[in-house]
Amino acid sequence: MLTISDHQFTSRLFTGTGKFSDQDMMLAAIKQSQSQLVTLAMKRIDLHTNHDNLLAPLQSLGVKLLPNTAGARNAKEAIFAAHLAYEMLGTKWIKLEIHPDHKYLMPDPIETLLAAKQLCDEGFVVMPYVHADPVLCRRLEDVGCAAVMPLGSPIGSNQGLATETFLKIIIEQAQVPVIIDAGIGSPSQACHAMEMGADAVLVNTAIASSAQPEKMAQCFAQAVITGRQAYEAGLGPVNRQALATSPLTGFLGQSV
Amino acid sequence: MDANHPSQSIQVVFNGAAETLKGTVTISELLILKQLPINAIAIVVNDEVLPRSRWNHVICHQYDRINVFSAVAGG
Repeated sequence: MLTISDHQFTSRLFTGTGKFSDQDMMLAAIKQSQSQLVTLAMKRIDLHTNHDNLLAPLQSLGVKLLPNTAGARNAKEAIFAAHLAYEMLGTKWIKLEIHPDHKYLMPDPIETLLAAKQLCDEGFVVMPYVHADPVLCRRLEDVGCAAVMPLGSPIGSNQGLATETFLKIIIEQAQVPVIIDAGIGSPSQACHAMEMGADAVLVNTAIASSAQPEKMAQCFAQAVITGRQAYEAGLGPVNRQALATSPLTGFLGQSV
Repeated sequence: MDANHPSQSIQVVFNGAAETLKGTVTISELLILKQLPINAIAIVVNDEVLPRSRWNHVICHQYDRINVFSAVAGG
């Protein structure tokens, strides 16, 4: 059981709601993923289009909502977005993401730390999206973040765990849950992240951009369960040399 | 806040577009006027989030910038 702040999750696969071909497909995929925490963004209403009710069907799935601050370019805008989310959804849970760079969407560490401190002081349950920086993750933990969400590779890139070495350090040091966010492109990568000891993974693009999102969501669900079980079972040590799994008594040579 | 004169028209910027309002119009009344849902939205007046508890009391004023936000799909 994974606990973040005062909330318990039986599923360690968190999902995003973006990039699906339509809302029905998104809902079907989330259902198959068994995710219990899903991310949302916020936008000014377009008065010239229909207002799809995104929330009611998500709430009917029984998932907890995690609004994000996507679009914020600095701490001030992210804090504003968190207040907006609280007013809109009545939740103090916030995925803090500040990325002024549109090409690679790299999170700004300085602005993220500033915003995290203020939002934690205001009682928000802050889950910051950050680069896989072990020092920054400790600083974010120190100011009261409920979890840290280091990236595996750039958002939406499906490049996998390019930051693996640093993710391992973060997992080793963290006293709060570590959720590997961004870049996980396949179930095997999600499984690997869980085998490394990540507390959860957040997957969006890899499911949404699959030819069969529902099936892929199931695959991720299975992979995350398997990876977690493998971590709990304890992986065997890695050796540089061969270590025989069968007795080397040389009996074949003796029979000649 | 002071009410506008009933016969007076005011200009506001609503979701980025100019809007003329006649008389005293509260934020709640503006939402009805624009046929917007009232659940799961947030209102920002002049760059400040306006708590839902004040929508019935706050009146639109000349040149107010009023924006309505809702949740959308995202990662």
